[in-house]
Amino acid sequence: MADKIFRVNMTDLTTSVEEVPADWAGHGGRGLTSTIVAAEVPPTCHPLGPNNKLVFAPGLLSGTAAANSGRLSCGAKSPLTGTIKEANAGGTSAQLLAKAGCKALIIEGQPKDDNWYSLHITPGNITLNKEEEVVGKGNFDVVETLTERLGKPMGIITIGPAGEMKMAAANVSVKDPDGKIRSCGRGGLGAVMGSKRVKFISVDSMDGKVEIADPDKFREANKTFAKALVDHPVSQALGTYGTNVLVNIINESGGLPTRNFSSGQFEGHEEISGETMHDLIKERGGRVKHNCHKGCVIQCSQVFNDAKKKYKTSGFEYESIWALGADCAVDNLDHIAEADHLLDDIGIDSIETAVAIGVAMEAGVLEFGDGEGLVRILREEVAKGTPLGRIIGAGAATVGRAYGVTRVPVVKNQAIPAYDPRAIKGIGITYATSTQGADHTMGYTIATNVLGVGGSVDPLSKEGQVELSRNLQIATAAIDSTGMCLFIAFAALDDTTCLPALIDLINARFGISLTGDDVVSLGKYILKTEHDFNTAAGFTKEDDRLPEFFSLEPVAPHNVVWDFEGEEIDTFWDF
Amino acid sequence: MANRAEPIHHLTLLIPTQAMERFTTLLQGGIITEIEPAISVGDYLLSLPGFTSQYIADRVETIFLDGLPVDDLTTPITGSRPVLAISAAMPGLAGAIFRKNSFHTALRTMPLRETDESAPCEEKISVTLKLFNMVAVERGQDLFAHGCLLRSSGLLKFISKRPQLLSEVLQCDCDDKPVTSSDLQHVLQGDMVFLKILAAGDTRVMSNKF
Repeated sequence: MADKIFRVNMTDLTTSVEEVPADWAGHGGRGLTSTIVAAEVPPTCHPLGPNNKLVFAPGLLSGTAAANSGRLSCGAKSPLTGTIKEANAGGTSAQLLAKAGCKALIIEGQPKDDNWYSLHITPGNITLNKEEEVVGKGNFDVVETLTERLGKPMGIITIGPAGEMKMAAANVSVKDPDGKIRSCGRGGLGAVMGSKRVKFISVDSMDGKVEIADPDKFREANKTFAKALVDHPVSQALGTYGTNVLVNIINESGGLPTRNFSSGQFEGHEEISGETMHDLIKERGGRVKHNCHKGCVIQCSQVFNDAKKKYKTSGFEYESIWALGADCAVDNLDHIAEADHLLDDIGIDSIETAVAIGVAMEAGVLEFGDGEGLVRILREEVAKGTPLGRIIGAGAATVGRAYGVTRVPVVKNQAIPAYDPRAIKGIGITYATSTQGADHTMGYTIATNVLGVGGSVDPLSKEGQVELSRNLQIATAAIDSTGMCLFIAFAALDDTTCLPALIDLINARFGISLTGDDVVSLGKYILKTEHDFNTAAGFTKEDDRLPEFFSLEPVAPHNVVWDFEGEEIDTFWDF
Repeated sequence: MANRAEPIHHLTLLIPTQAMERFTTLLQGGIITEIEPAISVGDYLLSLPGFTSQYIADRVETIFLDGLPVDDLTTPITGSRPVLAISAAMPGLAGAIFRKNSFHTALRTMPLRETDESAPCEEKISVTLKLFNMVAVERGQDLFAHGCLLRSSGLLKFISKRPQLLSEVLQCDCDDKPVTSSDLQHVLQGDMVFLKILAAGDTRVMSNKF
């Protein structure tokens, strides 16, 4: 089935299925969402108003048999940052959308009434329906209710109460193969979906298939690609401990932000480490290894059961565990898991919300270390939309302003995740310059040397560090367009067959002849498109800065500060 | 250095083989060994049971000495109470940044490694060795069979949070006398304990009383 653009106008409640404009044909995932947002959304519009548009796009390889290709991108102007935004997640919807021939889904306008709606996508068709039954429900209940109502396995994209309340940290949730939740977490895109009054989107591919231009070449490339992923030692670590394997290492480096970024080491790190989590999962009959989408060969997810051996959460990530754990000084994995479950159910970003609570703890709203109190705040305040819940749900910067806290770890209003930029400066450059606010996935560990974007200056100089961060962000933007999970990066670093095999997969899928240079050009185009949007929205180089406290407060144990000058950071955009 | 005025109890646990992996998590808290001052990181690791040059090159991808990443295995271990932490290859940009000799090392913060000038010139220095993730699993059994010195408080905390694991212990001896798991609180009152853990199917068990 040929790819189409599916469009919904929520103002006049109409739908259309359109040809793909030539300029969009070579894009997928983040590249496509950012292209469409830049083309169709006025940069100065209110993110929750009728002129913003919410765009979903599977990756270039989604829906195929390519390993680890099931990420769904979601983009809009962010209500949290005011910048352009893309967030992506696993789950089943990316593959089903691609199989239904949906190159992108664009939701525009805003209803004139107070009704809620749902969308249903099948090959070549999209319908719009009023919705009442699941409005107000948490994500788990939504998925369970809809699975029964729809009567067959389908993709479900939904928002929880946080999205309905248009909280700036609300996420977009995606049903995973187990009927649980994966999240397009960052930037408040759930609030944009709530502003369109769309509660959920169901996707039925009706046995549709993605066409492959050269099946033999595709099969061969996929074999090479998957082998590189499976054989890599980091993949093995991820399949055993998940990303939470990082707790001990980052703590050892002094880069584990603790008690709202007031220290770089957490005395309770052993209680929340990946090793401890692994043991608890085994004791309680959970699953150490688990995939968030069909075709994932790394399986970094896991199923974490409670003490009664009942499901509590899955996809229990390092960044969430850090934010709810070390940053709030909570050393009890059960409290953290309960909080993670609630965040999934409410439909709100686990990094933004937990960092916001860390700031609130500093303000005295709750004692550091009070895991039960943290869970209570999520259940009683955030989920119910009380004044405190709405302040926290609006993100860390809002909490800082509301309570007069100066140590507020955000860039462009988005909470800084899991790695202290004073202790790991290269990540700080990415936080500062990212087009989407602080985000650890914006400049990933892509093998820039393999792609031919290696550095040309001394890598140990500040100029060299900025250049490397830039190259990583260029490469990451390109990978984000493929629908690939970023964890392919580790194999790509060490196995020279991996990235060429990925390019071969794209070429075989579309019958084209991309080279490494084309991939780099794509990454540059995406970054510049996003940067241009932000500039038109009013952002300047002064927004590419870390908060002042990082320069004023040395972080233990190494007692280092952030020492990049603005002029040094500004060279990032010299390309 | 531990207060060696107190007697150090020798605790030996016999466990089912399948429980060994979860016991190796104890190594994230660190074990204490005595070394010659200024021995290199590489030579020290090679002196540990089960560690070979090949293993260190292929699997020990991330090394921290007093919180700073180590690329060069000839780096000397100095100071009065150095802490060495070792791990397999780690995910994420941060994981790549801290990998030894990584392409991404340029993105590290580079605080100067402090040398403790006031440290007394001792014949031996006490190093805390932390083993994380796959390295702990892969080399833990050899280390435990050989015996490890560690803080009693760490062991007590570990087992108190893992009652199921403790219940899987087949036999427990303290200073060659059988003790029950409920006696452990008393046995572990001292600062340090010398711990051996043996898997029931391990041939090394034959050389012990079990």
